[in-house]
Amino acid sequence: MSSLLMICRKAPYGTSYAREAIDIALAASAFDLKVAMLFTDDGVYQLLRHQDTTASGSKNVESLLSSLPLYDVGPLLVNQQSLDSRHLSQKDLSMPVQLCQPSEISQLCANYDRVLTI
Amino acid sequence: MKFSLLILGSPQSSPAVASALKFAQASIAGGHELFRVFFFHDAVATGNRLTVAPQDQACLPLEWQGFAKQHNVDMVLCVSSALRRGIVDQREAERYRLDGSNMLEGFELSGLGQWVEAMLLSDRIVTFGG
Amino acid sequence: MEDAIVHLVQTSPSASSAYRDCLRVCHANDHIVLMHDAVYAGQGPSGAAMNLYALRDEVAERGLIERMHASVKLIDYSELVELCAQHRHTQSWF
Repeated sequence: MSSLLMICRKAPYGTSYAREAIDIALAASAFDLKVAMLFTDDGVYQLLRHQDTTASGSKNVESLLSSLPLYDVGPLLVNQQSLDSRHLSQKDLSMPVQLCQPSEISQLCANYDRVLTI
Repeated sequence: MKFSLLILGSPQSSPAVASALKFAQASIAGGHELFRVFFFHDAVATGNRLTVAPQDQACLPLEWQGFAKQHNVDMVLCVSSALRRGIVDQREAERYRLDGSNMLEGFELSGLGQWVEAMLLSDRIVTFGG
Repeated sequence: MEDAIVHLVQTSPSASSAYRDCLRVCHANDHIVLMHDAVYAGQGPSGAAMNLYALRDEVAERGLIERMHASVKLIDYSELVELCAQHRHTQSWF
């Protein structure tokens, strides 16, 4: 089975990249790829809990991410340094995640057939 | 090597589309194969037939069209990105009862499955984002 | 065995965090290619050991040919294609 690592670097809502990365992950999973997602840099903000889009009308990224395990997308990995530099911790996140260090990301990429960064 | 390219930036306000074309041209000239070029996010404007470039500048939609025709390259516009940005082919125009279509010949509107297939069947994938 | 990654940095180092974020995760045997406005980052040393390149035409159009650091190798698109062909993963930063 082929594998894909989606690397998400963008904050949600300011651009559509967060939603589009999730769309690609779901499409790849539908094609039977094993898909994992790495949230790094501003991408960690996608996992922040309590995203309230009732007033803005935007598509809720927290809700979209919560559906990923239903489609066998995972693990969800988070660059710990990105959390730390944004004064966040795992308890601030809406999903269970695996933490990784910046020095581990290259090896992580080597473990996947395809790597896509959005 | 068999390359597929993913392009996200707008042809008008980002160097991504022009840069991807130079990469595509160089890959063919270097004896490589170009499996698919997938236009995603703002890059779907490359498939807009109604683009008018200033007289002293190249028209990227037409440049891509010419290149793809010459080398038989598969060019796909992501349908969900395109619909949101008002790039439609005749089929989608009829489906949504729009009063016209504007997709440039040589492009095809299709879903993310085409990009996933490209990732599976290509040796190398390169993304042109910013 | 870990394969070296080709990093394509595509945005200005002062307007975007892409280059800085890339340097944080790069390994010493990786390759970084400065493209578009990222070529402005080539005016100084990267402070890291990895191979640094910039697209020549994009350096020239910005008037930077004389200002590029000696550690930056100027390449054209043909050389960029070969670099990508030789390495399994290409990662774009924007």
